[in-house]
Amino acid sequence: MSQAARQIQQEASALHEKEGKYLTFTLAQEDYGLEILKVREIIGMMEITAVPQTPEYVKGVINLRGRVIPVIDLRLKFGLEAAEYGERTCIIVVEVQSEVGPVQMGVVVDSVSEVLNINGDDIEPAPSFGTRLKNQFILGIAKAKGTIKILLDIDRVLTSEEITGIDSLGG
Amino acid sequence: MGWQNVTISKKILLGLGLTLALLGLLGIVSYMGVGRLVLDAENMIQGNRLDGLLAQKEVDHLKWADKLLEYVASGKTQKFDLVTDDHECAFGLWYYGAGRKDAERMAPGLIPVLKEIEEPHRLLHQSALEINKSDQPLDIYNNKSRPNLIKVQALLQKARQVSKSHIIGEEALAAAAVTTRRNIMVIGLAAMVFGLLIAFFMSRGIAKALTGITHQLEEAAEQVATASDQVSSSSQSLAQGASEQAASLEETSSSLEMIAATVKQNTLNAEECNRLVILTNEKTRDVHKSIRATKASMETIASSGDSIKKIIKNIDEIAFQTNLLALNAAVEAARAGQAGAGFAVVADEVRNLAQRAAEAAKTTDDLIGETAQHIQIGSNQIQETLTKFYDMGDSAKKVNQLVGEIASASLEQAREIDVINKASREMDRIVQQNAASAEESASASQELTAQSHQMKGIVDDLMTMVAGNVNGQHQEKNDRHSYRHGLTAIPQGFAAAPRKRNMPMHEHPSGEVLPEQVIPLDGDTFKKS
Repeated sequence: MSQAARQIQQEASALHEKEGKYLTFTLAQEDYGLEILKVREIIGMMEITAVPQTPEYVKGVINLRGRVIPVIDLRLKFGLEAAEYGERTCIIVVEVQSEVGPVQMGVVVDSVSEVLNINGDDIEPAPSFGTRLKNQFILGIAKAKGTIKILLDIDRVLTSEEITGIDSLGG
Repeated sequence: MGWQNVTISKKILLGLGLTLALLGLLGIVSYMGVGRLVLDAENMIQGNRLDGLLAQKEVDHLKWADKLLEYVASGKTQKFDLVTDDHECAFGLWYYGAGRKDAERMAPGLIPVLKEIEEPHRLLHQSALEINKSDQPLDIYNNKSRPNLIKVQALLQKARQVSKSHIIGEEALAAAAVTTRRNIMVIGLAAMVFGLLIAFFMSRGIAKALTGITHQLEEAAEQVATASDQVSSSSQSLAQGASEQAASLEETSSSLEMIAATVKQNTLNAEECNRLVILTNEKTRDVHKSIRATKASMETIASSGDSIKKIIKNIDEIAFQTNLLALNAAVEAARAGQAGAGFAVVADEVRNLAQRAAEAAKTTDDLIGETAQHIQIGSNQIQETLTKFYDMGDSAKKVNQLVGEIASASLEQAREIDVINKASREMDRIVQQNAASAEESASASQELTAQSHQMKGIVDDLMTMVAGNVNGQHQEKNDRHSYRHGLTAIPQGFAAAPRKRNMPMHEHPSGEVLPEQVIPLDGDTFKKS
């Protein structure tokens, strides 16, 4: 009993730890959040150089001020329907922790919304079902301004063998 | 019977012919009877004369013989003056001359007797010569002269008898005269009876035929009278109708004049209309120009809107970039931790501004879009208006043409109305003529009525003449009276005749009028045939 209480306590504290600023964006009419410290930069859509022999969700690489950064399409990554890139389409450059150290990657989202300060009370754990995404991608569910925002654990989203594979793209 | 079909003239001719033939037969019979009587009388006279002659000759010869005897007795002392040639004596002259031939022709029985007498007569006269020469005169006288004398005497006696037998006696003559008279009487009586019969049948036949004809004539006259009455009334109504027609025609004429005036006004109006249509056309062209200018302006506005849209897009882009910058700034501020808190606020403000700018740009863009839409609608409407305008132009052209046609039609109408006017004048003239003709025909039919009444009177007269007293006697009298006077003044006669016909019989209350009173003719004229 106490163990369970302790686990809940732990979870609650873990959720409290997730309190902070999040960069929110939209993907297929749903709002998502990213830990702001993971974000390096937000850029508008730019030319993506396609790279052969990569999975479908890997769109290619971009040249960001002299640095070559791999770009993945989050829609494709999440198994969503592919969409045309528009004016509001942005690339969020994130820094993820991989086995080989921090790696910068571009994530294509439908649009970037704002930087939101989310209280720990507003964050709830990810449900075991009811979403398409695998649980390990989700930090939690945030309630803000009457809407639900899915807080993504971007390290987990992007840490896989593919990432390792594509990491070599960026020198 | 074929008698009914024979014409009256043939009947009369036949009757008269038969009667005349009978008369001729009577005349011939009379003439022949009297002629035979005359012949017989002549025969009797001649026979008597012959008888006398023969007696005279006998006596002459007796006297001659006495003289011869005296000469003989005197012993030839006396002068010998006796006729010795048998051809020289009175008898000899007759015997050898034309007298004997006449007598023989009259009485052929005399021929042998007279032949026989020649020889004794010659011998008698020869005896005288012998006596003169001979010495024995007495013997010769006794032997020759005396027997011959006796012979001659006997023969003459015989001749007298023969001639008498050939001569008609007075009794016979009287009897022949009686026969002739009887024959004439019988034939005459027969002719009279026959003639009477023919006259009776003929008059009956003719009267029958005439009666039938007069009945028919009477009927016909009545029919003619009624017909002419009808004609009279109808022609009067015709005359009335003609005058009504004339009045209608006058009305028509005045209406036509009014129509002509209206048509003239129409023509003027049509011309005015044409002018106005042309004016409208010009104005329409101006309006068309204006509309086109408006369209051009609107197109310019639309293109300006596009430019504005581009600008707004730029603004939006800038706002978006600004937003991105602000977000980046916020990221940087967060990364800076507590030190970047103020900066985060600024970044947020900047972001807000960028958001507002984007919103404003969006609103403007929406407005511009709306405007563009409106402009599009306006443009479409103008296009529609233009199309309609073109339609209107076509309509105006049509109107122009139609108005022109109306004007020309009005002119044509005016011309036609002139023609109609002329025709109506002609019609008026003809109607007047018709009216006059109808009146004439009315009066003529009245005259015809009068004439038919007269004809009826004449027919009644004829009836009376043919059949004697008839039922329509009094009427006929009156009618006769009327037609005799009606001949001088026909309309009055026509008016008077029917009235007179219906008048009661004042003149002959008895109702009996003899045909003789009506026809002043002697009854014998009809009886004799």
